[in-house]
Amino acid sequence: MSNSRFRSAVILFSVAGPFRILVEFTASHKIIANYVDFHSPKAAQAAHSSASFELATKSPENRAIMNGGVFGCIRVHRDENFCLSLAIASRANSGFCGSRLSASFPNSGVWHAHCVMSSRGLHFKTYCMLLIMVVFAPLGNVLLGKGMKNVGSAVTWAPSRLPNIISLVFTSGYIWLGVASLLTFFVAYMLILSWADFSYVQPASSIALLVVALLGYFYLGERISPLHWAGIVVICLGVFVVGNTPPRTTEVR
Amino acid sequence: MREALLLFFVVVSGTGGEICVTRAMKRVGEVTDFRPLAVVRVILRALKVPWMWIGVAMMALAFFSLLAVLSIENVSFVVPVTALNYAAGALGGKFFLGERVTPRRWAGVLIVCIGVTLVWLGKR
Repeated sequence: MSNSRFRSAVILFSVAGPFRILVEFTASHKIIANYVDFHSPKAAQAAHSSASFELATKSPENRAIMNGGVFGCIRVHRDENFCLSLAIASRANSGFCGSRLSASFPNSGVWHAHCVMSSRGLHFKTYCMLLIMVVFAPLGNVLLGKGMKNVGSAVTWAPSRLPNIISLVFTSGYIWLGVASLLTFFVAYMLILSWADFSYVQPASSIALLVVALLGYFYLGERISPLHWAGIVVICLGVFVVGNTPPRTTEVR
Repeated sequence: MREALLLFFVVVSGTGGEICVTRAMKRVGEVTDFRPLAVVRVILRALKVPWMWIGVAMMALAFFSLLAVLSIENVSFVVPVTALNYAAGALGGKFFLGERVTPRRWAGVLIVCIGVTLVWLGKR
């Protein structure tokens, strides 16, 4: 299967979810290489078109997704290496962690590709986004609060004064800074939700509640009673209890 | 009374919006490229999903309610109270999405509600 012209064809398994993947090629359960050489792109194409896939997972629901969800493509790189990407269409689902995807390619010799899915490399990205969320959401709220205090209390808002209030809101520098902070938060939030579960992100960002109280106390000089502090701590506790529950409850048994 | 009504909008509309946005972003797929242009492209792609628009509209309503309530109350009071989102999320999941909410999750929601009550009582 080796040829000097088309060396180190790399097979990548990529999953639409929070997983990094380790691929090993084996022949009769023996690891032969981390990559496979093809004679030509055509041979790779033939290998790909006859490939069959199998996923060993813990949950039957995931297996059902896999059966219809594997597809792949071959890209030829400029340096004449090419890579065969096999993508698994799936929802971000921690159920895939530790499961094993194997592929066999009957037209290209006796070998199989195996990969074990792990979440390595994902955490750094996730923590960066969480940090941005936890800093910018409270900052935005505090700036909005400061801006709105200058506008005046909504208790006395008469309908006739509404245009005046709206112009006050939209010309306040604090409001715009607050909106910019919240937009930064929102973009980070959208990005993180594309790979992590809502029920993971929501509890993790509950620290923001404490940050808001601290900013209110030190920056805005708001008076916070001991009972109020206790309430905030209890809320954070409650959010963590919520977060420790399984992310998916609609699983098929 | 007015602030309670406004907080209701902040919580209910905010949670509804978040659920819609989550649905939209899951349809867009995992983001792996963080260069500014690629991020802009992801945002444009997300805007093509109808759920995104419904979500954004609900979040906008929640935002203006938040502005109004912030003009009445302190930030350190308003933001902890918006943690009632978790209660709204659990109820919404149960009644609108048919999710099975575990007893542990209900316990967490209950603790959040107790916390909000303490914050409300400790306001003055």
